[in-house]
Amino acid sequence: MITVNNLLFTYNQKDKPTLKNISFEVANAEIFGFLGPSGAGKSTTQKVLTGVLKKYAGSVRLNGNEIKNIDKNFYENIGVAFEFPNLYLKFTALENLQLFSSFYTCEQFEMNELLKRVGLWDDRDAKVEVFSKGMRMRLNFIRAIMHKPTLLFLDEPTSGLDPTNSRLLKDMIKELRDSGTTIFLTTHNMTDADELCDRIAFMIDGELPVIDSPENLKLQYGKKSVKVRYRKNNNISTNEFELAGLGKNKQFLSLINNNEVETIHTQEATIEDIFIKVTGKHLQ
Amino acid sequence: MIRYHQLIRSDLKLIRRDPMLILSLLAPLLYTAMVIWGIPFMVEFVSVEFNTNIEKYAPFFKFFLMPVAPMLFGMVYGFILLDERDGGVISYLAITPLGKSGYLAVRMIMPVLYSLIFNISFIYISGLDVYLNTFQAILLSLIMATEAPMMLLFLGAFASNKVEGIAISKSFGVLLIMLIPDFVFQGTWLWVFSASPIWWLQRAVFHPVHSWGYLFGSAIVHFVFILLLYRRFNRRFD
Repeated sequence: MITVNNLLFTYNQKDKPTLKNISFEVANAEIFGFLGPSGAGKSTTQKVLTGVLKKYAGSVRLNGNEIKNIDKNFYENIGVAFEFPNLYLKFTALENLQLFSSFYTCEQFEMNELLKRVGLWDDRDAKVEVFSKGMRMRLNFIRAIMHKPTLLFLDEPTSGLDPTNSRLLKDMIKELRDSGTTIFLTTHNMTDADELCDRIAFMIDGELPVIDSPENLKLQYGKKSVKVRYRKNNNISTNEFELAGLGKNKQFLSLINNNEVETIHTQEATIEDIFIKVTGKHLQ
Repeated sequence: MIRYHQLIRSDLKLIRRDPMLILSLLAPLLYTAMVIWGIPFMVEFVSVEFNTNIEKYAPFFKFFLMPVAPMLFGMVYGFILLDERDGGVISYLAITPLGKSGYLAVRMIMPVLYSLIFNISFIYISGLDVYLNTFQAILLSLIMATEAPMMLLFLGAFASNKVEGIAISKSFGVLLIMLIPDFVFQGTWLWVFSASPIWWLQRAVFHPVHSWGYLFGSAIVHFVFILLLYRRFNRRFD
């Protein structure tokens, strides 16, 4: 779906490049996560991929077509949900959807069904200016998907949502992927990235030092050990054992046979741990 | 076409929901009424009460009011644009099939259309048609109508939001003030006011011998203004 080769982008010729020869590919029906601290170049990459910034060097191809040569019809197949919901505040939820829907000629989802699915049906005739952040985010999301885009860009889609609505949107994102939509997800949220993404890329200072699946990264950067938390004489204690030869480890076997085990966890790394280890920076 | 049609309809909806924008659109109708009834009344009143004939200034008063309409129409659409930019809506519209160019076309063409209709009507209602033939009246109306996108681009280029827009839109009135000396005085030094695009149009009306030349000059000055403002606006747009 997306093939990026040696993408170099500079806002001003005098400045250092914002994107420094980055290369990656995103397959059809894949959720590709883009992680990085503020100012790393994530938004710039998204602007290049959506055709907003065209003065780049290198190659950016969508379904084989160089993106700097695309015309307006390209946007029939693109959906974008920005981090900050940019809606007409003086229009109702329904009026917003009706207006934006009129820009597309392709087949679209039933608007009423989308509003019901994200719990905005009862508020469809309320002006967006009275909506909470969460309600605006949900409306922002369904506006991005209503024209059934084949490529969807999501920027912090669960920001400002309560756990129930966050779950709802994540389920919808997975459904879209399962039905063939390619999703480019930009986020700071490690839990979202871990749960949703088939592969993730870390972006630091305009470069992509790591691209892999969350599972591979967790295994690669994690400790191959298991941590046992157990109760002994009414006190909680913890012991850690190497995974190798665990079944024959007498100390481990004795511990689990003679004590009340509370928890046992393998010590694979979290995405956040890996990010800090690889980049030396925290996500903010 | 349907996507443009929907954006135009939504603009009217936005205007209906904002009392200030409604008033700005209705103002040209109010001062047209003043031109029809107010100016003759004033001429007679001053003549009777002060024994002074100000009738020779009436055409200037009428012409002076004419560019206010395109400025107001441009301001209305400029305020909509500022609200859209402030709320990030333009960034979204730019990545729909409407595109940045389609969006800007609607924003610039609609106030030109309203202004064109108003200007032609105003020339005939106010009696300024005695100075121009039909083609000149239409051309002058069209050139003056481009002051609407000029105002829109001016607001887009220099204001960050509607509050700033209200403040800086008043500075556009300088272009109108620059018309006054040309009507009161005579001399080649008055060409210093040719920096005002409206000055050329005023000359086209009140110097009938050279109407075509002034109309031509006016078209060039308007074009240059719009081009410069568009470049400046475009830098902020991205």
